[in-house]
Amino acid sequence: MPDPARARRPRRPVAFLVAAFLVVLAEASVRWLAPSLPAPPVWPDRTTATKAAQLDRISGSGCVDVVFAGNSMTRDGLVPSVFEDADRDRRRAYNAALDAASPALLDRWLGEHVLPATRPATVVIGLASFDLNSEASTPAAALRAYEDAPFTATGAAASVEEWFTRRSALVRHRDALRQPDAVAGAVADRVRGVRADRADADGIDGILAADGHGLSRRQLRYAGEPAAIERLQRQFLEPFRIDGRQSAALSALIATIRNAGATPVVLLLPVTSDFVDAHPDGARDVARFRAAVDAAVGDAAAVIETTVPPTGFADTHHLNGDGADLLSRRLPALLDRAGVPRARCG
Amino acid sequence: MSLRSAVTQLALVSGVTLAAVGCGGDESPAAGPRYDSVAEIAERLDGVSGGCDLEYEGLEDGERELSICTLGDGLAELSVWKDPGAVDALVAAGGASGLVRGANWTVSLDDADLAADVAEATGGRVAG
Repeated sequence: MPDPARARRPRRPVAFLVAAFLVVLAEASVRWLAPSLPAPPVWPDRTTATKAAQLDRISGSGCVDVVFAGNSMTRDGLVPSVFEDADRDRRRAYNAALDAASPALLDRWLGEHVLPATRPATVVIGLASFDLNSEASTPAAALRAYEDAPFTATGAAASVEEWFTRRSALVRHRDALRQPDAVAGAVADRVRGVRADRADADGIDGILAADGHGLSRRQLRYAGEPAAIERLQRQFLEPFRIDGRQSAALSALIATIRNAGATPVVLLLPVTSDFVDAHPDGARDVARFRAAVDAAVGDAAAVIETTVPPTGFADTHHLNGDGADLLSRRLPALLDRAGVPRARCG
Repeated sequence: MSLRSAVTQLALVSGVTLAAVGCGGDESPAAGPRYDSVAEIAERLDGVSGGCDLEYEGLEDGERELSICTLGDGLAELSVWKDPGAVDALVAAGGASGLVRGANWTVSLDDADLAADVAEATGGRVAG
């Protein structure tokens, strides 16, 4: 009489082969479908995804001399092409700033993505008082989003997830694949040859330029709107506490830049008087910020600053097109006066 | 119980449940419609002053999901609050003009002249 266990044994390799075949078939199907599926959420947001595409392009074509880093104030306030035109050495520049990016977020973004791709000679870090405010809610939310996204998360589990996400379309598009409507729509689009939107190194229409600077506030002009002040206070200034955490992150960011062989420079960004007044303790909070910057930076970086007339602002603290062009034209001379070497990248 | 009877009862229970709890974008007569995300609100603003192209996907800050866009001559801050009571508190606090609200969301406008258009497009109401 045959042993039933032995009789079943040959089925296991067959079952394994069938399962492997189905996985390969599914992977191949999703790869075919991928161009029409929604962009997978592998970066914290589409701006970061777009900047990652821009960094890929830079990385493939050489390097840039000067990188601008900071939050949306730097993104909107420093225009690489205007800087290059005003610079007698015509150093090439790229704006790597991200929305609501605190020094802690920038340390990771620059260290892991920007510096390896751009290999700059100089990094200008734009700062405002709320960058060192440990209680600012929106920068904290941006940091959490950064730490949660597959391509920017840290830790062993995140590394494994990133490895699979980069290599498998099934894993990369798993969110969309759980939505039957999205899959059905993607199949129809794929058959018709319609591709879904993807991060494009050329930028985001009306929001982000190909050189990384912000476009959305260039036409605006601040007129003391109460909603702008309330938004500023809710997102960035209330409560206001400088307790050393972000100062330590700023020191770490400067060390990261120096370790990459670049010269860090801290630019204290111009703001309106309404911005200063919106702090819980007004100008005294701003003075605390300035003292904390000096303590965090020490001799490791030059600190430069300038002002822009009220007509150059889109709101309490973001520059509009006029203000951004003015600041960008002034920046080469500010760097010279601070004794920053006119080094080139590479 | 026959299969047909079971299916009929299941459909009946599902219908009653849906009617009781409502679904996405439901209307609350007192406070206006609910939205699940800032992206939903932004979609509704397509026809207002050139539309609201969000600068970033919604950020979660513990109290709300928020994002911003340029609308008219200024910025608009879109929020979907986790606690709908926060909307009432915000409105009760008064302050800025150009605030449009729904049951669980707000749009804060620099350009207060757009408030009526935003309210019409979203089904909300001007709160300040």
